[in-house]
Amino acid sequence: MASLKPAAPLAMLMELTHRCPLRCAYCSNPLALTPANAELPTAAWKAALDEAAQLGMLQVHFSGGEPMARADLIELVRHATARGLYSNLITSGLLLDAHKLAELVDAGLSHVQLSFQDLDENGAQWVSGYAGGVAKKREVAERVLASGLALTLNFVMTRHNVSRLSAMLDYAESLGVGRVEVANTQYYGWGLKNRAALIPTREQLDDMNSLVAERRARCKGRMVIDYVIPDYYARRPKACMGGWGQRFINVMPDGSILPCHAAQTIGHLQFPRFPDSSLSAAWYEHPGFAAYRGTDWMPDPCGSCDHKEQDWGGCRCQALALAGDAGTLDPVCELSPQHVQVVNMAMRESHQPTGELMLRQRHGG
Amino acid sequence: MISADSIVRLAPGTRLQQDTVRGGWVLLGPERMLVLDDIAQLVVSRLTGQPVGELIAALAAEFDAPVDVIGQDVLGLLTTLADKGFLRHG
Repeated sequence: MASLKPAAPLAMLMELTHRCPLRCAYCSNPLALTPANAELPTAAWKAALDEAAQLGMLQVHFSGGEPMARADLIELVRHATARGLYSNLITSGLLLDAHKLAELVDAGLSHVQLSFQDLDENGAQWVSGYAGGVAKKREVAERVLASGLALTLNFVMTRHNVSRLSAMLDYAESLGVGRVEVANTQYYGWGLKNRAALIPTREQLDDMNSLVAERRARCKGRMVIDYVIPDYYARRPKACMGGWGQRFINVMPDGSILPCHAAQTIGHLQFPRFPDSSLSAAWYEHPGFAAYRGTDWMPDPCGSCDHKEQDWGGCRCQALALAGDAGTLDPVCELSPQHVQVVNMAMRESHQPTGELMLRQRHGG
Repeated sequence: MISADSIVRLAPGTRLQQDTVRGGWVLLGPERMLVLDDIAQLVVSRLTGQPVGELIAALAAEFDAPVDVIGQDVLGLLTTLADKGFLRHG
């Protein structure tokens, strides 16, 4: 056990609700979705924002599900602003009408991240179960920019829309947004269930890599492109959440306080719930947060690896899902004994004909 | 490339803020944050729409330091921050 007190958390991801108009097959929400009647009330979310600011957190991300499905979103954004927190709205945009947008601006929202499943209506409908979404999202993007709010477009990549990445980046450039995310689906929750139908081929990844590099050079100084690859094709794992219990606190719709949104898949760990537990007690004292924090927990060869304080051992939930043990190497690391098997499996899946998708089922209860 | 003629400003959705818990100043932007040292904080806080060359001249006068030394430091800093997505220039 590390004897030093952990550094204060920097940001809070607030999964306000699991309700959402979309049913994306790659959704990273848990398979067991929290029903609306189990969501934290407004006063509890406000108390969480108060404590976040006291603890030294600087940014809060309003997410879900679709955070705009919460009737109190404006009130919560206003509260975050009053506490000096930088507020980010992570949204599908489908509920973001002109009136709500004006209210969000007035409440002091700092930034909007708008997701696009595709630029093609059929492609978007296939993966999200929602018809006509692209046209609505295009309207929303223009409306947000006209309001003066900073906007990021988040393009969610699968092997079915890679061929349109160039058009997506053209679109972002023509709008004049400051930032784009080219975010390959990560395979957790519903995404893991649908991996075989979604994962791109190695060749598609090469195409994406070169396109992104070319566009980054072209758009330098005007538009930032943040790029996330499917980590199965990486040599080393991603620094999941910037390290377990090192930067982020996630609060789930029912108040569960987690180091990452998938941590509850690790069945032997228990996590506290807000407001029964404070955020501070969860962060500094709870064994669930201490379990994989830092480097003391690491198995060989992670403990002696030069990258140990860069990737922090990768993703614990992925180690459990793919290697059967949350305490072992993340199998996407090339040093994992399971690496070759896992990567070969992903590559094989990427070349298979696409079967039926399992779309996220509407709210669980 | 940022030069003495460039006009540099904070990127959309980016702000300079005091970190009241840890002390010091941070730049907060979309999905990013950066802790600034005193010099970086001073330079960023002085980005008010003037060409970078004017800012360099003013700082050189205030700190009684050679313009070319200050210029190199300021251009280096602004380029780093722009590459990380915190600044825009035109």
